[in-house]
Amino acid sequence: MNTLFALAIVVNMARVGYSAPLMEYSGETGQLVEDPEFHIFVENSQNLIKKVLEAIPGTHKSCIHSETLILNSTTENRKLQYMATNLGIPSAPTLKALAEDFTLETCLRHMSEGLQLHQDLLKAVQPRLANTENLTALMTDIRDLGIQINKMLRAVQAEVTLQPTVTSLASRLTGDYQVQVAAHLTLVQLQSFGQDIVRSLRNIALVNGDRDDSGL
Amino acid sequence: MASAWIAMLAMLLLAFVNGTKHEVEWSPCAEVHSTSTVVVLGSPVTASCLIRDDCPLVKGQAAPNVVWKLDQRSLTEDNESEGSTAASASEGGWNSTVFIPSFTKTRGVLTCSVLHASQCQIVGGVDIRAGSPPDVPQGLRCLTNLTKPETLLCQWDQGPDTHLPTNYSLHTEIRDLSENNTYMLPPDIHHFKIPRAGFVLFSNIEIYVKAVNALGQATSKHLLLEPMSSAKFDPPKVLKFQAEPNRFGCLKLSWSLSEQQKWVVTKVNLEVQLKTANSRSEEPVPVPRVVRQKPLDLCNLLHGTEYSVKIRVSYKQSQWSEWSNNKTGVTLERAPNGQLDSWLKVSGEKRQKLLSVDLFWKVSKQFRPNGKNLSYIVSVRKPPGEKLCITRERHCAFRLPQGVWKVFLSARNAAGTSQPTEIPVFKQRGNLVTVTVIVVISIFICSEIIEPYKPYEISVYPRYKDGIGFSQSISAYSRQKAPSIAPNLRVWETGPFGIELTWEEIPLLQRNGIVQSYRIFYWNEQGNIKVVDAAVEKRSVILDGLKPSSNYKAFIMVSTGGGSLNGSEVTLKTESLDPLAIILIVISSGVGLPLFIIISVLVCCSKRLKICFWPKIPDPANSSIKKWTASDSVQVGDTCLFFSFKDIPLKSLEKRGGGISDDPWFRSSDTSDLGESICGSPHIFNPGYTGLFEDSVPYATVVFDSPYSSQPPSQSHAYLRSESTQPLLEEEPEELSSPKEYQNIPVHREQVFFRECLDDGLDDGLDNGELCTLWDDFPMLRALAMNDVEIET
Repeated sequence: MNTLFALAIVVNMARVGYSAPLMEYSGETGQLVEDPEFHIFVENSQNLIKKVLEAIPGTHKSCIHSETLILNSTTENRKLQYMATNLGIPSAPTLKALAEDFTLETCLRHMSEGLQLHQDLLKAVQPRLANTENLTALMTDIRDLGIQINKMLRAVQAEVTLQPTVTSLASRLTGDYQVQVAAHLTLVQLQSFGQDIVRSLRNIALVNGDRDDSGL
Repeated sequence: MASAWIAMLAMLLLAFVNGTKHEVEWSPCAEVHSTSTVVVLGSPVTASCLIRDDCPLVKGQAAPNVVWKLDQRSLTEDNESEGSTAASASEGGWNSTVFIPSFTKTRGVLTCSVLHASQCQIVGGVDIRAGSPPDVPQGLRCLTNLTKPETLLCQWDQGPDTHLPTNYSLHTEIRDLSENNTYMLPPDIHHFKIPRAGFVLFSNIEIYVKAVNALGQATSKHLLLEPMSSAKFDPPKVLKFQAEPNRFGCLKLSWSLSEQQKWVVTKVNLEVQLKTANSRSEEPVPVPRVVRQKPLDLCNLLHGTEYSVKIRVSYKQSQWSEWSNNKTGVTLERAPNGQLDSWLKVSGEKRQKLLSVDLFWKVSKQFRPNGKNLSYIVSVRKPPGEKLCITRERHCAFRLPQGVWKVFLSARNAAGTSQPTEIPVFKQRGNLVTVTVIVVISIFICSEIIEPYKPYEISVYPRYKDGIGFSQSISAYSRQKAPSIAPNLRVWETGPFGIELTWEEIPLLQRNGIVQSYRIFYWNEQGNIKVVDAAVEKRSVILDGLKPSSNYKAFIMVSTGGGSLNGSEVTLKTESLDPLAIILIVISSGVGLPLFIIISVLVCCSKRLKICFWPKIPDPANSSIKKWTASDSVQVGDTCLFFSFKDIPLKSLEKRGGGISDDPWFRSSDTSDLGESICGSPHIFNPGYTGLFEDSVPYATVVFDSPYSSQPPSQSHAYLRSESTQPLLEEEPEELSSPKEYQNIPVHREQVFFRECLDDGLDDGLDNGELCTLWDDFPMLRALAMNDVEIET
């Protein structure tokens, strides 16, 4: 009798469990966007972030002439963390895989804010740098990427608020070295943030049905 | 102290005012005003000249004369204006106006002059320009340049000349940025490069152009575009193009966008152009949109074949880029596949142990070599049987033992061997009944190797149920044209009235077709052209009807089925007439002919001459022999003979040994005194002969096979019984006074035999002394003595 009761409980539990949907992050958390142009915005964003990432080394080379400031040197960059705090360079927003606690809207907002942040930082150092053609082009690419991100935000029916980031960086650029460090750290952070954007966009594309045929 | 300062200040102030007043008080003598300094071309212009009273040039004049000029040309004299030459009084001075109904110059200076002391002095002027308002700018188009520095180049059509400085401005509106930009352009510039900051990639931008000049403005149509879709990408790169292991019929294409566009990670349109090494046509193979930098498999290709590839890209609806670099790749080889068409010829006799076989083959349309270095194998059994022949050609000759009824033909490359084609071997059998069947078949032979204007020999082999027949060959051209060269004319023989020309055949490879005709054009010094056609096989021609010692020119035209070609001119000259030849001709025609006529007349009229040419031969039928009775006729076949002088053919005798002319018997041409025949009389020689006719005496012809005089007595002769009823010689009258020479001796009623007087019993009843003549008295008769012979029947 006890065996039969236990067996009945197990069977019922299995039945209940089968009917309940699994809470996958790509499933039922509102990540799907019904706007048919959304995937176009995603593709455009993927192109532009790739453009930004490919432009960073060239921009760094044209603007930064200090040999100690190396773009891909993690050890050297770690030594500049105090300078970053001192110059008031904020950290980039966090980006991670879509989840219940990190919705698509949140992800897109973080992207937008992060891009705006870096655009403002570069805008602050631009007047103090020479050979800024590449820098100007990079900033334009960041601008264009921000537009695509904002389009995606509108597609998820989120309100877009474009406010420049308040930064005190310009007032702290007392010397050329500070300018160089500020530009260098901004580009390094932008490169890291950009790679996060790539992963996030790939994630968003997968969630919305686009298979990984983008080559990223 | 203070007052001093005040006074000083007052003085300074006064001086300043005076100075200003002095400046204000200066004014020009006259002022010229026009309704507008910029007018539409051809529109009217009104100008006025206000001359001040205190102008020194008009002081004291009641009404100053005003002269209006437009660029040094007086308007009043040319009647191009209306207005007063005399100024009218107005407040503060004199006023003169001029009205130009149609200002047709694009620019002119209108001046106002007054006459002063007989001189014209310009007192004022105005610069007037005429033109047209700008047209609406047309043809606005923009192209994005994605190579750094990235720009958006916009340009538009120039439009008609306005004759006025026209400024263009480019306006952009980017809704995503809530930003409008205006770019001012220098005058008469019709293009502008919008900098990178002025457009947003992947966002629409609205662009229009404004044209402004002094007469108006115009705005173009608004152009809405997305910069990426208006970009022309740089040519992409083909990185690799090669076969992969175990992937038959495919080549993997690895490619990438140019460095400047490598950031485009989304799909682009890709066009692939493939061609084989031997192919002359290039057919683009549209490939669906592919992801950037993703290798692409191109399949359904021929095996073992080298392909050349190039690609180009476009983004959405943008222009195609230029073609990329070329790369080649070779698909994997496989064994050959497909049918081989063959025909086989056997020669050799049945008894021979080995037969000579000629085997020819060609690939069918469906045949695929699937590799390079193709060779063919002929074997007795299916491969790998005994090989009779291994060759790269398409024919093979080999010896085949008797009893082998089929061979196998296969193709081979590095990857393998094709399925063998079985070819039966048939020998030609004897005593075939040949049935001629005429079947008209038209076959088009198409092949890439067939070239126009080249000669081909086509051999057709009839295939019967049990063998291959003999071939018929024909030469043919897929297309003909005029020959490349014309033959050179050569003079073969020259005469006074004609020239024979000849020429060589055109080399085969330069004929470009089948020669159908040769035509010779020739003309004299007066230019009279004649044409003569020559037989194609003969390659020579005679130009006749020419004049001696004359110059001619000629050329040959050779024609094929596709055209004609003229050869080079040759100069000819006929020979001059030989004087000796002329004389001979004159003599032969002027003397020979009359002579011939005279001789003919003489011959016909003169009997003597007539007999000389047409001798009278005695008629044996009218001779005395004719009288002899039938009972005394001589039987042919006995000892006697009949002969006829007439029937002895002198010619046949002449043919048989000759020397006849020396014989006295034949020397005399006069045979009329032969009289009756002394021989051959049936009464003498052939008593048993029964004559067939009473009026004619049948006679026999003795045919001698040698001249009679030389005939040995023992020699046999042939006797021909003549069936002629030809009357013999005419009778001589019987008046016998004395026997004439060789004349028959008058006879009694009894038969007289001319014979030797012999005692043989035949003389019974006859007087031997009277009737038996002496043989010696008749030498001719003695010469004709015949022995007993048998006449052949």
